[in-house]
Amino acid sequence: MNAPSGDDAAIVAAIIAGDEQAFLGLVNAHHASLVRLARMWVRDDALAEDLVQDCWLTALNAIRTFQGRARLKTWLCGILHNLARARLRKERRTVSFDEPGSEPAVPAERFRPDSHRWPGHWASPPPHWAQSPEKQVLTAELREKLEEAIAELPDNQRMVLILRDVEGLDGEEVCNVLGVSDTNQRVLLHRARAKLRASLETVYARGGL
Amino acid sequence: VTRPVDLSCKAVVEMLTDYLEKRLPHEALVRLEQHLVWCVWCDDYLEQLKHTIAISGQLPGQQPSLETVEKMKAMFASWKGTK
Repeated sequence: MNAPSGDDAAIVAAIIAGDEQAFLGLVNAHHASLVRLARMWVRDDALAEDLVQDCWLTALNAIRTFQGRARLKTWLCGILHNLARARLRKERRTVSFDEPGSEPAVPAERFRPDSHRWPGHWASPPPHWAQSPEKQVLTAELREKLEEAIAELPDNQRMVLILRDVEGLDGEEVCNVLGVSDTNQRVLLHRARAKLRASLETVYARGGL
Repeated sequence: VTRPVDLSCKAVVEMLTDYLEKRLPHEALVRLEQHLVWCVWCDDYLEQLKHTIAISGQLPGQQPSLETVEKMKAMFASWKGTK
């Protein structure tokens, strides 16, 4: 059994010892992430804040059970998702991860048809993006585009994408938090990333940056 | 230059998440990388995907409001009192 690692262990020990600053530090570090995740389940800021406060209380009450098998962040995400799921069940809403769907990530019409000399090769290739790899700056325009595209994703794709790419959890952590299989997690992530890329295409391709 | 025509661009774009996750079987990995060597469009697409992932990680969150912080202090004090 792993003991909680480094920083996480120290924070948990301090909280158990009654150190308010340690708790507030944890809140500061993760509150924004938890609110973002809560907003995936409830479509209202006030309800999301409620849910996150529930999450903090549940976490405090369970803090002694934290064994460091997961990072603190992942542990908190797991608590939040369990609370959210319980709440949704009461409202008879669910989010399914079992059927990730089978549509291609890139629309078929962007490729040459089977009858073509080069079937399946780009008919409408991705326009080159006027950006240098080391300059990955999130401008206000990009931020707006991205947030819009994320909001338009189906629930299951949005949850996987936010946990993976926005919050930085790894695949295994996402599977644990959402209770999704590894294969479906990758399929959902794949679709979601392709849609975000497509939405950014309109910004980058006209060289507007 | 010979073109490994066995893998279409359409197939390649569907393999890129598994590629980035390092989950492709060896043979598929070799075919994919061969394709990326000559297909500048698919290579561009891959770079754009990586760029999208990188900037998604920069989306800022909302810091807790003063009101939230006060609620958290009260919650902690009452939790401390009952434990």
